[in-house]
Amino acid sequence: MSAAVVVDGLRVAFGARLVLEDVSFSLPSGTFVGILGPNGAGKTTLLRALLGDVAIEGRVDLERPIAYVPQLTEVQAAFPIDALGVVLMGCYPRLGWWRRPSRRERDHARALLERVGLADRARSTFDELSGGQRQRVLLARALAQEGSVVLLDEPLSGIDVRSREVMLEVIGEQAREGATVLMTTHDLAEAARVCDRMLVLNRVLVAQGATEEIFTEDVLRRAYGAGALVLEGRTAVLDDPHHHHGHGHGHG
Amino acid sequence: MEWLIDPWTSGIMRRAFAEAILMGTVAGGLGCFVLLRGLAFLGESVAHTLIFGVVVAFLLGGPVALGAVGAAALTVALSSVLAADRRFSVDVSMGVLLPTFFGLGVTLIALTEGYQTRLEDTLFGAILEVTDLDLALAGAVTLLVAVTLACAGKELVLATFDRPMARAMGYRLGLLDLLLFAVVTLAAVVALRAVGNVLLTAMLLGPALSARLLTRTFWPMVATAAGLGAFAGIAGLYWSWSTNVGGGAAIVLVVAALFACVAGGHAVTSGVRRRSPAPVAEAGLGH
Repeated sequence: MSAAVVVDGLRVAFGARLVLEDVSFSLPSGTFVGILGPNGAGKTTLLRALLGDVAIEGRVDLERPIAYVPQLTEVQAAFPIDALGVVLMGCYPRLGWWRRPSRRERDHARALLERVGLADRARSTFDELSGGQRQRVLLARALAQEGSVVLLDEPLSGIDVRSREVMLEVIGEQAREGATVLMTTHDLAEAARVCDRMLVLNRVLVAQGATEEIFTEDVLRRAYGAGALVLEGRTAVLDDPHHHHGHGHGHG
Repeated sequence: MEWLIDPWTSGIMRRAFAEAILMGTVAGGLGCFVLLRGLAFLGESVAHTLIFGVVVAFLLGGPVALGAVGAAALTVALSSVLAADRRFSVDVSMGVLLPTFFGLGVTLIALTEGYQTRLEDTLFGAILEVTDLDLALAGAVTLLVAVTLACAGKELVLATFDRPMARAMGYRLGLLDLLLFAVVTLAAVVALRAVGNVLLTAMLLGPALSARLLTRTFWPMVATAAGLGAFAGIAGLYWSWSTNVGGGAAIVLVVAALFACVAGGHAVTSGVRRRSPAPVAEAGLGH
């Protein structure tokens, strides 16, 4: 099986601050990967390294095109643009500099909005939408990028239950259709439910592998330290990852 | 109807109208980017840097407008050199360069005898003294801005709305910023002639603010702001013609009056909206 993403000896430093070190992994096509780790572990930096947006040492090789969903907080929500306009941005690189989206791209963008359950909000401006709806619009835009690799930065943070369900369903579908999906998240339980593989980061790669191998108390404690205890109390999933994992597969 | 036709019989006024319309269109349209990128500071400081070029042109006996273009080109070129270092963003390097040029300009003015009246022109504009060269420059800048927006408009919007995405798609944000700053600076050169250094920011931001309240999405906002800018140019000149108020000041006051009307109307209608049982915002979708 050919690898869709290969990272070998990745090291990222911002000035004197070492953010990522000695990170190596490779991922086959069609996997749904959760990137876990405490705040400041380098999750977002890993995505930026994959995007080629930060100076790195080591090797990063991934299939193109890359689709991307940035953190919602990075987007200027007050900008006057409607949901359809945001989704259409996904096809800009294919269009080139002077061409505007045609009827075909518009129809496609509408279909993608429908896929994330927002067919009736195409003409709503971005700031009229709820946080969850905004996140779904950004996901529809990533779908318009038609990426072989899909990178999502905290797509589940602070959104409503319905949006979360729609997001995970559509992202899972992407992976089953052959895209390699990497998603950073703070939500261990959700990650355990839906992801095939996990990368656990804390400046170095603490662990990687299939979800059921990774989702052990030992590994999480190495990544999160004392924080894992709190999480353990809150999420029963630590005791029985297999059940939830199975549920994740049956879901789609 | 005589008052409507009267000003157009004068060659000076015809030139002034042409300048005001071009300047209002360009400054109004680009002002939308300035407003939404939070670059009000840029407009202000660009106006200051141009003084340097204007004074140099005066000393060399060349056309003032070309001096301003030269200063603008020099600033943009130098700031692109500075911004090549990732630690400086383009607006920070502009923020360093522009006051420097302003300081140079002021120093040169102090050393130059007989500049005082010209300084007033630079501060408040001299739209009745517009030359053919000024008009040609305004026309060229308008064309250049139109071509820029046609070729890179959607990319500039992306870089404003969602910078991480623009970077991820491989666009070079530094270059896009520079392109935007370059056209805003050129628009400032044109506006400098019409309304002057002090009133330039009002010309960039006023129509854009009104348009923001009148429209829901970006390109209609740009078209509206350009239209309002041009209208303010025409109306301001009529006012100036009939009352002897300075042209630049009259144009800017029309801009302000338009904004007051739009903002007032907006406050009233949104107040009504809040009190009505069904949200009107939903009904207005298909504009």
